[in-house]
Amino acid sequence: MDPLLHRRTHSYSHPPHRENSSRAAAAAIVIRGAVLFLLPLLMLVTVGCTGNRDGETAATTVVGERSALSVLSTSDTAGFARADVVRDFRFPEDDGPHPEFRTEWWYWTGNLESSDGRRFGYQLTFFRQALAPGVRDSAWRSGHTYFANFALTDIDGGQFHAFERFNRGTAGLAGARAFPFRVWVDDWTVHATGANDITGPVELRATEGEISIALTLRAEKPRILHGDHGLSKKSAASGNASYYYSLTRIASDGHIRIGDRTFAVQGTSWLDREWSTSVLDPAQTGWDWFSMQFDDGSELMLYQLRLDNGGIDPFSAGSSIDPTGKRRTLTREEFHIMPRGAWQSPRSGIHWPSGWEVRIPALGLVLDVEPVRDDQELPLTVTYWEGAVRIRGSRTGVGYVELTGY
Amino acid sequence: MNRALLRAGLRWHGRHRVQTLLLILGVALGVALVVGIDIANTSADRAFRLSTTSLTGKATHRIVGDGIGISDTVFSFLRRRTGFRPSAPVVEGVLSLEGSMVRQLRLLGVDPYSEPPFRGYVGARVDAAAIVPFLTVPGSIALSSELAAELRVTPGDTLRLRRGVRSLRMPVAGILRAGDEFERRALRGMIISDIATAQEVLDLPGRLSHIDLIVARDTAATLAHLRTTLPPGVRIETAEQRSAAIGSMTDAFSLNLTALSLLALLVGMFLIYDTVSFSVVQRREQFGVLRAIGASRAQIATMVLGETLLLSSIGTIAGLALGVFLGKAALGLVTQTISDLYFTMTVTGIDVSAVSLIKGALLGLGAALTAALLPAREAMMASPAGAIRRAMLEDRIRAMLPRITMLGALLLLAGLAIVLVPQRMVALSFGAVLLVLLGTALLSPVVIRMSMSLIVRGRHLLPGVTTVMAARNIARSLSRTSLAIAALMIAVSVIVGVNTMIGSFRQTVEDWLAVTLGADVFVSVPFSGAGRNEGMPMALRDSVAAHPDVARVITARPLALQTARYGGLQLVAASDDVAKRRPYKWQRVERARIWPMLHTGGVLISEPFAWRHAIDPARDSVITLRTDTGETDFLIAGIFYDYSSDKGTVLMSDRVYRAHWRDTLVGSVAAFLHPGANVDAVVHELQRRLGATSNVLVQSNRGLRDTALAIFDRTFTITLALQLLAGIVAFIGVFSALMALQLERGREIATLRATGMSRSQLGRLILTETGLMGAVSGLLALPVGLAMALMLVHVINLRSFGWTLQLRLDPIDFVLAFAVAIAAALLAGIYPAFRFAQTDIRQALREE
Repeated sequence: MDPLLHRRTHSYSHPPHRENSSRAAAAAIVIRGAVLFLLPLLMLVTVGCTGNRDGETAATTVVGERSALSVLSTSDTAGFARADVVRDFRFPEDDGPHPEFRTEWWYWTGNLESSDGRRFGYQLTFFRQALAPGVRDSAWRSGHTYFANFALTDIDGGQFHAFERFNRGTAGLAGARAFPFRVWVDDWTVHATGANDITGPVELRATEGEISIALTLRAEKPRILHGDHGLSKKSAASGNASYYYSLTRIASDGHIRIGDRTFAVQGTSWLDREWSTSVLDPAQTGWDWFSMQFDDGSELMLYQLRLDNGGIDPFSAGSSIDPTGKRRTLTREEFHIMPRGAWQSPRSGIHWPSGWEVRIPALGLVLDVEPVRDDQELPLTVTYWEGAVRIRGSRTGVGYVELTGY
Repeated sequence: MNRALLRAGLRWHGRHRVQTLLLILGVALGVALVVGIDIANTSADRAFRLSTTSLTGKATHRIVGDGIGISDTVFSFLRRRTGFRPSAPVVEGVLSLEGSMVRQLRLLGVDPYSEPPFRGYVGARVDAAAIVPFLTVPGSIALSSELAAELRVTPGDTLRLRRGVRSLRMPVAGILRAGDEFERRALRGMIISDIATAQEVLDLPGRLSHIDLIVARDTAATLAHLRTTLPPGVRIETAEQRSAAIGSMTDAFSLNLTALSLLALLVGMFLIYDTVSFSVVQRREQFGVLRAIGASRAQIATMVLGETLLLSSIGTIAGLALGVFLGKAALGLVTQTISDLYFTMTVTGIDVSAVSLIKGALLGLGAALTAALLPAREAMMASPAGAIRRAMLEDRIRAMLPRITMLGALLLLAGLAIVLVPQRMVALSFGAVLLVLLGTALLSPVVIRMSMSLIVRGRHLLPGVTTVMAARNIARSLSRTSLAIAALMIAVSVIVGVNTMIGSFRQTVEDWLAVTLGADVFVSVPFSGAGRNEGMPMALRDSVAAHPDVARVITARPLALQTARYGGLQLVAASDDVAKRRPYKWQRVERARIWPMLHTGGVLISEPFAWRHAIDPARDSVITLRTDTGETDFLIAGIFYDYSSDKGTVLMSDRVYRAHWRDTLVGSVAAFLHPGANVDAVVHELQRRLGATSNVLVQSNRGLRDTALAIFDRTFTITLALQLLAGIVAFIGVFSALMALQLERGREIATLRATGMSRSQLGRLILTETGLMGAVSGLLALPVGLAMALMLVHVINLRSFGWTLQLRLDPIDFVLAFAVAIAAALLAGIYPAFRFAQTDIRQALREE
């Protein structure tokens, strides 16, 4: 999953070519936008807004501020590495940060259930964003901003909580390390307690006010490389691509605390790892991203990039992973995603699609994807919708959907 | 009021322009003095508060240490281990604008990621385009548009600054937009940088000045939790505690100013009373005439008061304007002194508060009307048949004399009694000084009468009759002469007292410097203000030591620290024995064993430190400081005399210091040369060699002493300036009083002339009279001035600062003061003497 593409974001990015783009590209824009806004303006919001769903937060309003425009137009890709060739992935090294690329993330989502049947969805995401290429880091100076989003869907409690954090990638305040694995912003962290890599076991911890999560994660399948051996191309132009891999099935157990109640939970998580430098095509208005974990041990990942003419970008793609971990690429033509309902956020006023029918004829799949609740909109620096879903139809399971640019 | 009467009154003033002008001037100067000092005082106070609170922002608490800041790992610990969020690290210090010793900018190093809830101008109003360079380009700063305009820089330019011995080139990344007037003023003297830049520029690698916190909920529980989890070496204090701590440093100083403004008030009121009452008394004849042609008593009284109100209003308005001007001039001196001694104030600018103006206006009009009341009553009494005899007034004064004398003696005794009672309230001591002054002023009539009758009694010893006539005239007009003499006496005694105090202080410091500064050559960071803790790298010490003429070097690291237990203090870490030659007030072991004791963790404390914290070495054997390694006790090895800091000094061995605090810089290097080495040549060569790469200051022993004394003198500039102003005002008061006194004797003088007195004889008479008055003031002023000096030196200074000063009486001060008194009085006599010499006797007599 990615940070979301805000609906206005596209209007101020100007890549030289009109290209297909991936979630990564879109995300890069959003993240960069977020970082640039965040410093001068939005940290007010981030600190003031603890993500409680009551009331409009300033975030939505401020994201539209044009003040960041000048920065965006001057920040080109010069000085950064590009995802331009198929890479020889090396693990665990590639679990760690790639500071030579502009943008990078570690993106955990998951569906959990307590022993007495209470269901939860969670998201804990860490982003790295380079402020400028070639900055010589010192004790406090860092060319990288790390930020993190933390959301908890209390399905049966009928609540949704979302928070965010920002910090510099130095002075011990935020950062990432390949082995033993660790990524953190302040005291939000995913880290190995022993000599482990990202496949685990690793501990995931985040606390904000009365909400807290603590999980132990163990990958049940090896890393899945998307696209062309992990090179997820967004256009025909060389370099406009990201490196992208996932842990599609992670056994998760631990505790969730809400106020003075603590729930012992277990379930399945998903990790997306992606890094890139390129930017989003101006014609792309946003994307819909789906991760599905089926009861039969298979998984599915799909994304579609929406164009401003109402069409779907041909570079939209997906992966189907069978119970043994074998992957098959899904091209744009092989899947169809049809929204079946909509929900309007009372805060942002945005009309989000809500519920989809997903058909993949080549696999013989007709799936009914339903959000566990309508309101899983994150009213943070960047407003987006990222929520737990239930899947019925040809296969049953759970998943996460991300919507941006509505 | 009756228009015709008012016109008559104003016409009188039109004909007596000099007196009228003096009245207006008297009121104006009195008001100006009070308003000026008040404005300087309140402006400095406000600027001081703004300078401190603009740094605090919305923080409720802060994490601090007793050393130069705290380790920066405390912040990541706080963020990652305690679960506490609203916190912002700060690294701050002061930079000098290159090429200007005067212009200082406070560098506030902040963490933009943590700032927004704290200081609005940092988080919310940095240009978005500036953020990336601000965070990533070393040395980048942001500053307000106002400051940018003043320094003529725009984003992309480079600001040239200086810190310690280093020159800095700091790129301007962006402009801060102040949200309100408060921020605008705060930002006028401040530049903002990322914390990384601030650490580099201020030589504070790995350090934070403090961490601001906002503890909004469950304060007690949160603080308790933080206190137990945070590493040793840090503590949490409230934001107010911090401001109060800095504020209390300047208390003694502002008290001094307040005392001066009280003095100004006293002198100002004397002045106004003098001039107004004289102008009324002079016109008894006019009132008689007016009564004869039908004006009622009430009308006369109203006329007098109305006129006074009108004229003193003019004076008051002029005085207010002059006061604002004066305040501006004084403010510069006040802020300079505070920056030198206590805290670099980056906020300046004058605050003309309505309160100051109202205070001044009330004083001007109130004193004028009060002064006019008695004469107005007298004017009412004036019988239509003729002018009231002045003798009546004098009779009344004479009748009151025992009571006035009694009161004076009482005030004097009360003042002396308060001074002698050992207590620590400095304000009370100042009050006592004022009581002594007032008491002496009230005693002056009886002293004048006694001394004049002495002259009369000794007339056969004097050649001629002029002196005796003059003495009799003075004694006869006691109601006026005593006022003028008292005012002059106060002004002169203040000059004597303050000069003697400053002289004693300076001599004490000079002697102390001679004993304390043992080395031949000193290499140091140019002084640019108190509490800046600037330093130079250790490597400079080695460069100095490498000079062939240098036998050995000692380093010193003087630091201004804020501590939990003792508030602000000066810590000096010396690398080698500096204990040998110092004069001690108390010592635990014999002199030779003091330094070894320091080497093993002992400290020396200064006399002001012991006084301030009521440390009795017999009872308190240690002082406790919170070092980087936690709370540490240091054995007190001795108490030494020290005049370098009124906050108190703790002196320790450099080895002990470095073991307890993380610091790699030194403040100064003292070099002892081989016998026979040419000091000036060494100074010159070191300056040339070291100066090429850094802004060090190389001075000889003599040069350093001069620098120290220059700072000392700068500190007292404001005192001297205000004292001078008070003196000028008093002089004008005396001048106008004496002149009026003479001018009202027109008829008497004409009679004297008509009965054969020559012009030169007359001139001599008048000058003898005023000269005698000056002499009496001067004579009275000498013991009073001496008493004041004694009180300032032995009581006020000791109680304000804990300094023992050696009283140094300079006969020149006294001779000069006496001469000033006589000269002022003689000067006041010249114009009347000249006027009367020109007077047409027939005309003057015809008026009879």
